[in-house]
Amino acid sequence: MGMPITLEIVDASADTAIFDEIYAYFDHVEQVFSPFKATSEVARINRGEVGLADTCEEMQIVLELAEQTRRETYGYFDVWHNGRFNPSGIVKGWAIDEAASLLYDEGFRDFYVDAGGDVQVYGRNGSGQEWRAGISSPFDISQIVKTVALYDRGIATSGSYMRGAHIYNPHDDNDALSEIVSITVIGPDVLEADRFATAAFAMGHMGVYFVESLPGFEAFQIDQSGQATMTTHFIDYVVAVPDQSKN
Amino acid sequence: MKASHRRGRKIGVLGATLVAASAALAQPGAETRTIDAAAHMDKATITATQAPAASATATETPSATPAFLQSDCPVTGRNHLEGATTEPEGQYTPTPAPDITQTAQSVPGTTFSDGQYAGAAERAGGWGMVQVRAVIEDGKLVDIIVVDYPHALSQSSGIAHRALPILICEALQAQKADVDFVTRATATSRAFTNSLQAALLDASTDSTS
Repeated sequence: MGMPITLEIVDASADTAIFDEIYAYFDHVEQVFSPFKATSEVARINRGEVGLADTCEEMQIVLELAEQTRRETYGYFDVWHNGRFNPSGIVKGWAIDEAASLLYDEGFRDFYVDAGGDVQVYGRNGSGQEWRAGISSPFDISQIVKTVALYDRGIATSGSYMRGAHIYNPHDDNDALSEIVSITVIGPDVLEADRFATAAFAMGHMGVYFVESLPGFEAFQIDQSGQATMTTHFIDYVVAVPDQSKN
Repeated sequence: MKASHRRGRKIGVLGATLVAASAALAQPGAETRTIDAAAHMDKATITATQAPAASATATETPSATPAFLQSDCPVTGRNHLEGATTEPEGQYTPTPAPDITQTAQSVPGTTFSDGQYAGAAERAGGWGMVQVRAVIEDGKLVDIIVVDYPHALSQSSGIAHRALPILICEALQAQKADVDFVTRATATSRAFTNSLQAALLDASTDSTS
């Protein structure tokens, strides 16, 4: 929560009103779900001021999604930690999904909704091509390390800001649990991509294998040594671009 | 033929802007600071390794462990069963992380009591604990200090050998950006968020309403 929202609508009928409506929706989501606002329903739950059964309808939906995700990810995705409730790992994807549905219902067909680097795309970009997403290097966010072309897909990246903090020995065969720094997941919609990216990241280097086991989902995982591993059909999304970045 | 169209693009930042290492956009007029982590990636050439998927030959399945976890093959293109190894060129060597100190924006709509509040140490995946301390001055969140972060790998034991599909591995390589948008991890890891949330909750319940 508390993230930049970027909205791009190609349809000629887009005007300031629809932008205002979508931003107002995200503002509302922030008011309800932000773990950093003392007045949010999440904070009230954690202070014991409201029971789970008495929460608003949106919270009920999110709770249900969270539980479903927890089961599907063997417990790696869990909104409860040490008695604290934090659904941020699923709220973001869910909110983007809702915003995209709002846009679609209003008749828009070529757009993307980006909240904090998780994105849902529909239709085509302003050049009539598939929307192109760059995967940012977790070691240098100014660099792109992969470009993918997406059509009616969701893309989400889960990762850690902890860089260079782990003992790592790439020559040690016994070093089986070297950690990863980020994993990007592409799926039919961003809600799905987001929840599985969150769980996959929690699994460490095995996360990419988890996504490999999910039909219709592809992943690009980056470990501490700067090695990337991708699922079998991730390559289908990749766009070939020149190798060296301008620097 | 392309009819003229109006394309709107607007960037807004809503709610709390908690600035962490992967900097988010700031509220207009607010100050932000980006942490430049010590890591810097070598521009190694791509050494893609692709091999046919190995057949699964697990002879037994431990009861509670999901199948895909039953392997000690790290994800670096090495396969212990075949004896092949792939060493990336331009080896990246991570350096120890300094104390990560960050300055965050004030969180609108909340009141905190001045002081320092440590969040509970949170488990981060399988590799250690994360703990942060929130510093409150003039009722605002002004600093987040990372008290503890994972600095040792946990070693697993008793993981059964199993052949996993061999996935494509390659060294990261920077490329020219010709994209509509960028995907990256959001500002914080979940463990960090949980620990900070706990700290802020302590700070807010301490304050008189």
